[in-house]
Amino acid sequence: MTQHVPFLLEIGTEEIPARMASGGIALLRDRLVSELETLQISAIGVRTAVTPRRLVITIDQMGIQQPDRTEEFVGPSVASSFKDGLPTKAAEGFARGKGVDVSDLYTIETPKGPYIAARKHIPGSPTLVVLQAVLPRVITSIIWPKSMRWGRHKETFVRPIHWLVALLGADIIPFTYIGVTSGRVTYGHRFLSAGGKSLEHASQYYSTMAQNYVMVSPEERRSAIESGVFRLAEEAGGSVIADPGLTDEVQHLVEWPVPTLGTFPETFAQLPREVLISSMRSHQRYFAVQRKNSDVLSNHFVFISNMVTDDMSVVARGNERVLAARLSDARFFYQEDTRRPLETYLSSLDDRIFLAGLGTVREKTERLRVIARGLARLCAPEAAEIADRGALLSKADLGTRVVGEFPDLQGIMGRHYAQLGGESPDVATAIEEHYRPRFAGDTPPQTVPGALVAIADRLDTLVGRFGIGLIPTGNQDPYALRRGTLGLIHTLTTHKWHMSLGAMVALAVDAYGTLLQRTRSEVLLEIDSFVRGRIRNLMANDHPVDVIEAVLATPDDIVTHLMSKVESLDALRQMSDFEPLAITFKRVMNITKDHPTAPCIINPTVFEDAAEHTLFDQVTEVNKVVVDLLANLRFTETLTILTTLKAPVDRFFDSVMVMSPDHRVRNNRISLLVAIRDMFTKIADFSRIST
Amino acid sequence: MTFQELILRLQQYWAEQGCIILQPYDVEKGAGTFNPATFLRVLGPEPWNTAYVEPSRRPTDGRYGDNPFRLGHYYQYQVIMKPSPPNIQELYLNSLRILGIDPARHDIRFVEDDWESPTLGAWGLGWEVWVDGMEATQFTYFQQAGGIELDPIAVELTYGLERVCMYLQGKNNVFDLEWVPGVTYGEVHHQDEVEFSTYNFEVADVALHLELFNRFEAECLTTLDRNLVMPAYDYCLKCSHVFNILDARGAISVTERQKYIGRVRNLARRCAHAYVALRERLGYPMLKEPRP
Repeated sequence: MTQHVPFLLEIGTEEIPARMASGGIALLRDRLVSELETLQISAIGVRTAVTPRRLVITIDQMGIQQPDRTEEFVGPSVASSFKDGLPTKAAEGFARGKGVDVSDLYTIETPKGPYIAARKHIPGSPTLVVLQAVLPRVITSIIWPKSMRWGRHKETFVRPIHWLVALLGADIIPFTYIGVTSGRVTYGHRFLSAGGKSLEHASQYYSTMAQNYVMVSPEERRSAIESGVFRLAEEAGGSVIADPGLTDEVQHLVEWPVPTLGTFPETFAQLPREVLISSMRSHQRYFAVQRKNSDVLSNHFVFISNMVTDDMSVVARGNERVLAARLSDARFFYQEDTRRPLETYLSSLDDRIFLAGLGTVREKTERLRVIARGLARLCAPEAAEIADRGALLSKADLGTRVVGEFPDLQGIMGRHYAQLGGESPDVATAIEEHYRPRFAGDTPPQTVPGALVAIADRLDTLVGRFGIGLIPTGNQDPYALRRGTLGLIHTLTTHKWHMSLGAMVALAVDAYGTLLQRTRSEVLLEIDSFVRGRIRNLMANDHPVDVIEAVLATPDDIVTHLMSKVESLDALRQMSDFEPLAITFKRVMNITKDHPTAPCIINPTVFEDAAEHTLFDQVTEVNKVVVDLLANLRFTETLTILTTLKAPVDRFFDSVMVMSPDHRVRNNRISLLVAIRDMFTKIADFSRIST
Repeated sequence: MTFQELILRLQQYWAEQGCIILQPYDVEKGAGTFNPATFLRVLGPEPWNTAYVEPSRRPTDGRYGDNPFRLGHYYQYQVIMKPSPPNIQELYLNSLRILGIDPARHDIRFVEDDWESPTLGAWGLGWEVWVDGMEATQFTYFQQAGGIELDPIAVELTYGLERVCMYLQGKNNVFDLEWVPGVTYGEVHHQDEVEFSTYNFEVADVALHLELFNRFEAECLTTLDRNLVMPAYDYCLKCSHVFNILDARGAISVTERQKYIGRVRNLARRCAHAYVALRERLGYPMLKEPRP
């Protein structure tokens, strides 16, 4: 058993961008672990840590020696290796190349016939030696979202590197990377610790860091931040507004988090809550505090200092002054914005390009009005007026100063300004809601006008992009059409709007007029397949792919119906007797596949067998019920009724030969099966179900 | 510390670090980066260390002297070191100490802020440096200028002088800053802010400036044809300033804006390429062996 010792790699850098820290360390870890696996170096207890100034990997137990191993090399074919029982030049050359004697060569069977082979014993190298080459390679292999050069160096890294600590037990793993040579000297907190700290052994790393004011673990910093923010908000008589996204960022901005309380002048508290939060959050990364049991903001905030000083009030006063300046800017913008009604900002949209080739945002809002009205006609005529007004004003806030400063507040400021300007509450809500869902898991618009404008907005963007041939491919989806379409689907299902995709797309295509380069049918064809793709992704977590495909293969293009059908069919599929059922109906599908329509009208007088009569009667009976059930969107019951056809269909197949030589008889039988098939395809194409 | 003292201390400090203390360049510009001592000198292999105060004009930021923090004309302190020294963060932190900002008593942070100038075709990576939450300095490792990769890399430090001084003096209004004892920043510059805001937002002759832009652009290109890099670059700067006035005047739509920026970038790019070729022809006169 090889001896095991701890391993440490620390890359000391200038401040790494917060958003890149987690990804960078994860890649470093993956690459190192996979290299170690390939090299068969044993590594137990891999841990990572990352701060703004360091990327760290430690391994509790690393084998100090690679195990010996044997490798087999395949040489030339036997035929070309020996002539008259003697080794040829080819065989000798191969043996020499592998450092073995010709007499040690042996024969193996390969798919191409017998070949000669050599076995080579490769002694393991000391880990210390192997890692000298591995570590620089692993560091180079990290892909950063953005990386840079510095000084005279040609190589790039996320930020300049200042030190490298690489220890295997007590030994330095020597290597050089971008001008820095590895050693045993690390550094603590930039200001709370002075000078280099020499590590005698890799095992001293974590304790040394803790003594030198570096909390290396992001999780530890995170919980220190969360509990500190919570405690300070409580002390200030309020409660913290949870903001995991902000915590994610702030934990990577500090090595030694010191949550600290600050206040801002009460006079700013009159600003809308969202404006206050955005001012604190986006520029300063401060946590907002609200009053206890209320959603009114208190005039306290919590910031996370990276320093503990003798007098934290100096640091707090500095932060307070900066925030006051930010808030006074925000108040200026807000007051400017509210000088005139929201509608007057529409003219600023004349100047704002929606997408190259698709006109201005102002033109887009005019289209949204037309589309939203059209949608209302299809599903909620009473909401048409409010949806129209909401659509008109939906983008007006893009011209306001506050949204210019805080783009995240689009919609939210629109609602606020609409209310202030005397728009009806429903219009104000529609403006805010039309951006929903804003992210995965966000709620879709709850009000009818809000949902109509939201759907109109997404249809407009989807049809516009497809209409000028800019279709998402692979990772390329710059306008987030996939996410937008998922939002559209969620909105349709939330409101149970059974609108056909064809009708919706037609509304948007017509609203564009002559702007699109492609015809309505071209656009519809591609969007139809794109939307089906989104349904497939959306449902694939909860339902088998073949069930989804079977439903999506039908010509139905009502999104809500397709989704309900998948659920109904999946429920049926989980019944124990589904499989024989599916086999029967696949047989129907197969036998009728060359007949898109029935070859003749079913004529009961041509039937020759009782089984035909029985089946025909049952089909006639079931069809009446099915038509009624489908009209009421009762897909599960439809399927249940259809299953009663299994027995008569089986009997039919047992009793008659469909492919009768008499073509009248044959066509009549096929027509009967087509009638059955057509009932089934109202729900799904059973031929796609795997049995 | 007075505004004047702040500048003098920075001049003294960066002079001690081996920087040539230059004076402002005498053509209007939006930032110290536009000064040829930065934009052109960062190109090519020759070492270059300089520091200077740059009066910077941002017509759209004018607030008629009403806003306590925003100015249409303000001062930047610009440091360029090429190649970027390995200890540049330490050198920078020492400059804060010189100004009386002791890192042991404050929370100093390097927060990611990548810098890009679409008009100059330049970009770099770095941070804004926070002192107790206040953005004190833009700290950038230039990677490209005029669309040309830099080699070696230059580092640029840009101090917002008014902001740093407000912090040091504990003032909440830029116009209350003490320039020297008994004279405020407002007394020196407030009236200019009012006048320039009025001019840039309300008075500037749009037709004249549109015409000037075209003429300056043509002059830049003609001058480049004669291989006169610095005179040509002056006209690139003038185009940039005229564009800024037109922008403040609301004379340029969002679509046109991109086109104008593209035209200035084209001039900057052509000047940069001409400068690189010129220095090569001259045999890189500043590329001396480092003294032992």
